[in-house]
Order: sequence, then structure tokens, then C-alpha cells
Amino acid sequence: MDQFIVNIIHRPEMVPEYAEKVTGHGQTEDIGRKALLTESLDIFKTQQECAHKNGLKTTIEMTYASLFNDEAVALAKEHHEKYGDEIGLTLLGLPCKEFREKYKTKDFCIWMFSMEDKKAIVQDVFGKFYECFGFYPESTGSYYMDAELTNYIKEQYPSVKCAVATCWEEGPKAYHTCNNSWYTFMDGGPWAPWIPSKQNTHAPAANEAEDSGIVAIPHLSRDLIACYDGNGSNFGTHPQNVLRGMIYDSQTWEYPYLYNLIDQFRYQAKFNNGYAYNMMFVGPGWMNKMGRWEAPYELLLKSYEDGCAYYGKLKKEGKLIDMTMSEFADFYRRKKSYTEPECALWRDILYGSDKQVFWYCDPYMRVGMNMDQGGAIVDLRPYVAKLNWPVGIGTPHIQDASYPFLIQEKYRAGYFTHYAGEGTVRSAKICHNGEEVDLCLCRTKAHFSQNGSDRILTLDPVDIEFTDLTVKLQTVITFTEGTGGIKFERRVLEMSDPDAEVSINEYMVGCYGTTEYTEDMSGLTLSAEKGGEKTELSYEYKCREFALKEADRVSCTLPPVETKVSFACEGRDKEGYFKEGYAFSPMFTIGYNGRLCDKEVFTTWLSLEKAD
Amino acid sequence: MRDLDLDMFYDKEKKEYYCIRCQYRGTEEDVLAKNEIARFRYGAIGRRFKEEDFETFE
Repeated sequence: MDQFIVNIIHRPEMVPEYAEKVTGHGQTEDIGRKALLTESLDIFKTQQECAHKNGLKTTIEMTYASLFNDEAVALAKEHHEKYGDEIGLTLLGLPCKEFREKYKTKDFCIWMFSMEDKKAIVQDVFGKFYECFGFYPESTGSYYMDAELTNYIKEQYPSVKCAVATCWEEGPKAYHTCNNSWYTFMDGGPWAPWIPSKQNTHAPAANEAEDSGIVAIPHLSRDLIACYDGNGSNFGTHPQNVLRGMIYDSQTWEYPYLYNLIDQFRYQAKFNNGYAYNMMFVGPGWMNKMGRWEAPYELLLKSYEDGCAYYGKLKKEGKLIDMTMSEFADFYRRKKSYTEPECALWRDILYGSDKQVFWYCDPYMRVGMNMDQGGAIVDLRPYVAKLNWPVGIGTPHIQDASYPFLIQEKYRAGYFTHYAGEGTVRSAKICHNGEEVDLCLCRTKAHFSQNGSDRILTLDPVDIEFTDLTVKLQTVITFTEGTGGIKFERRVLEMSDPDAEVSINEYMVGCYGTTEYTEDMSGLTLSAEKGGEKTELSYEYKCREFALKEADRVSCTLPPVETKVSFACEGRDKEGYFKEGYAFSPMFTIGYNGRLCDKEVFTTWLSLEKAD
Repeated sequence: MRDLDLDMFYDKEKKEYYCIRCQYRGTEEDVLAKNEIARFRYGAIGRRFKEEDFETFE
């Protein structure tokens, strides 16, 4: 029987950063204003009531600021006793008089402080928590928890077993959404719970040795198409984000999209051995009594009440299990193994299209595939590298906590470029008599199946039409657990001329980075191997190419992201190749050419390894 | 029209909202009307999906 687990998390934030701007607009900043603190706590109480009256328990993530508020502490104790709410501790909500006096900064994002300050803040916050409650928390979290921060917390406070550790796809596009004032990037992470590795929060642990000791959950459960294609912030099971996106009828105040999101998350049990997860984590600033943008307070409140009511209804129907964060951590560790991937087959539920994508996440990689582009890989993150990527003041990445990509179709052009050069994508071209069709232009749909440790996507066949030939081609993509490899099979089901032959070019155009702007590609090495012999080329932007008949493997080694990506192939007349880019097209390409007749199959494997 | 997460400001003398970053200016009625237009992209805004719809396509 499917299990749909929901975490509802509330935090008495006291001084949300945007609430101070809104409620205090036109006044000198004063984070101790009584009106602000009173309102924040009132909103927290309202949120708690919304959950409890629908039979739902919550995790109360106390903020540092709230620990100095007797009423907030008393409320947490009362609700723990009465409703079974968990009392946890978030590292959001640091700003308060006490914090500012000691740290003398307006900075408020724990992950961007220096390591020295992170440790001091953690000690202050956890120490104050203990003072209030007499125990240390089992759950914590922040918008982002870098690995060094998590490792320190686990070392000092081993009781912690669950944490909010990142927010899905909050990179440059979120920065743009917030008029380029959201100075923290965190693209490239999992969208559903995982066990982070000690080395890098985004990258799941492959085994016990890598296990950070916590189960991580995302800050928001987000729409897996809209948040990737769009501006990111409006599309999740966060009712007021839905309002922010104006995804409601302004006359009737209805928002079926919110329930569609919850239901599509429930549906993911089909692809994850009967388990699905969703969470709702809304800070009090989103229910500001003055309203936000066009939404009056009444609408903000209604949306939260409705969200909780829907979860409550699902629970009454036996379709939802509400858990605290620490309960969920125990459940997750019983349920999932290290190598078991998280899969999501997701359709558009917002824009009215039939677009479908598949997301895959395991300790080796995170992969995004677009069926509107024939199953092309449009986002690829090499988790296998387990990149050491400290974040914060004093590190090379003060604000950029994203996990680098090798392919990212939005930031690095994707299949189609407006001018010269190529964008990053993994696809194939079929060629016949001088004509060429890229599968990126062959829309299809995927069907998921599982066979032992294989997760298989079988795509609907596509008809590829040349002037004098039509080819019916089917793609089958297989992810084998624990291998870091993806197999692509291109099967010719039918040809209008059964004696015809086509050529195929399986390719990947890649690069590396975390933003839209190119990184230095010098230092990358392209290679082709056959029978123990290897031909290598150091990247110098000179637009060079090399091909090797019957190559065993072609690859690109990227030292800046400690990754080697390679192709292997089984197919007739296979020829491996690599291409160096140039300044206007700073990418690399690896691939295989070959030939196909009717009923033949051409198979390639994309593999990711950690490179020294 | 609010396309990005930008706030507009209100000029009470001219009784109009305006964007400090682009050229937009308009009355409250115009802002609300443009907000409706901004919803054009949400083709499924009113649709309620059932379980069988998640893998069924037109």
C-alpha cells in the first residue's frame, strides 16, 4: 500500500526579513518593534491552529529570536504536550536584539557566515534551546546547510537526525526573480528527502561511511516543471507562493493548482516503491496582516486554511500520514537504502501543455530529462564527484552553494542556440541522405517501469520523416542503481523502406558551472580510447575534433568539478569522437556515430566517475 | 503588470502606481487589469487534475 508522508513545519520567526520591510516601510528599521513581534507570534499561533483543527501535527522549528520570547517557548511546550508537535530548532530567524548585539551584523543566513561564526552561532542557538527546554533538538535546518555546518552540528549535538537542508532550484533564476537582490544560490539539489553526504549536502551518501548522520528534507516541495522552467519561487506546496504567482481566480479566490501539486506529489509513490513525500513550510511573514502584493490578509489566511484542510481531508481518508521531522527521519532510514534513487515522472499541471519530464537522483547523479525534447538530458549534476564546496565568508563560494552542472539547458542554451555554436544537451541525431533530424525535436511521452535495480523509461516511438524515408524509432533509457551510468537504446521499429539505412549520432554537449556565465574550460581533457591506447587533447578553445573507429570509450575529464564523463557504445560501425569548442561556443562534445537498419538497436552508455 | 517580484510605488499626487525600474505607470484599476492579463500563461489555472490525468495526455 502506498504511503504518502507529509511534514508540516512552522516557525515562530519573530522578524522575517521581508515582514520588517513591509510592516516597517517608511520607518527606521527596528527589529524589536513590539508590533512586529506580536504580529509574528499571532501568525504562528494561527498556523498552528490551522493544522491542529485538521488533525495534523507539526514540527515547531523554534528560531533563535523566539527562544527569548517566553510566550513562544510556552506555546511550543503546550503544543508538544497537547498535539504531539515536535519541538525542533531552525537556524532561520536569527535576527533579534541579542543576535545583533553580539554579532554586530545584519547578516542572517547561517550558511554564509564564516566557519568561525557558524560554530559560535550554533553554540549560542543550541545552548539557548537547551536552556529553554532541557534537551537538544532532533531536527534543525536552514534555507541551506552546507556540509561543514551539518558535520559540526552532528559532532556537537548528535541528537539531530533531520534537517531542512536546501531549497530546490534556488539559483540564478531566483536571484532574477527577486530583482537581483537574493544573494544566495542553491541550484542542483534533490527535490525530495535524501541522506546528504558528509562531503557535500546536495550529493546523497552512497554508503554508511559517507552518511552525514541526518535525513535532509527540502525547504519547499516544488513543481518539477514550473520551478525549473520558470522563475522558481511561485510553484510549490506553499499556499502563499501560489498566490504570489497569481495562480488563482481573482474573483472566486480558488486555486486548484495547490491541490494538483499535492496530488501529483502523492502520485510519485508509483515511481518510488510505494513511497511519496510532501511538505509545507511557511514562515509567518507570508501571512502578513497588511497582505502581500495584491493579496489581502484574508486571502493569505484562507489559502493556508485551505491547504491544511486538504491535508486533513486526505488524512481522514487514510491517504496521508502526518509525521514530525524526527519521526520522518526514522521512517526514511527504515524505508530507503543508500543506493535507491528518487524518481519523479512529472507532467505540466499549470500551463495547460502536455509537457512531461523525468527527474532522477541517486548518489552518483541528478538528471533531468525532457520528453518534449525526445527524452534529452537537459540537466545533469555529477554527484559522484562529491565536491568539497565550502560556502560562506572566507571560502571561495560566499553565496554560491549550487552544485555544478555539466548540462543545464536554461543557463547554457540547450538544444537550440540563437546564433553560432551549441548549447548543452544529451541527445541524438538521425541522418539520411544529407538530411538530419535531432530527437530534441521529436516530442514523446515516457512510461516508467522497474526491473530489479533498473529504473526504465520506455518512450513512445517517434516517426522521423525524411524526404524519401520514414523511420519509427523508440528510445529506452535505463538507470541501473549504484552504477553512475545511464543506458540509451535507440530501436528502429519500422522503416518505410525496409532495406534502407540511416546513420545515428549519439552526442552530449557539455560544460561546467553554476550560473549562466561560462567558466574557464582550459584544463579540461578530451580523450578517445581503443584497445588500451588513448588519444588526448587539452582544451584550448581551438575547435579541434578527433574521431576513432570502434572506440571503446570517449570522455571528457573536468578537473574543476573533479568529474569524468564518458560514453561507451554497442552498435554497428560505431565511431567515437570528441569535439573541442571555441570562445563563442565554450562547450565540449563527446559522442558516437554509427548506422542503423530496420529492427536494429544502437546502444550507448553515459557514465560519470569521480576524477582525481 | 507584475511579471517579476517587483514592487511598484504609488505617487499620490498623480494618483498612479509606477515602476521604478521600467516605464510602467497606471491606476490601480489598470494594475489589476494587467494582473489578469499576466495570468494568460497559466492555461490550466482552473483545471482540477485527477490521479488518472497525471499520465494521460491529449
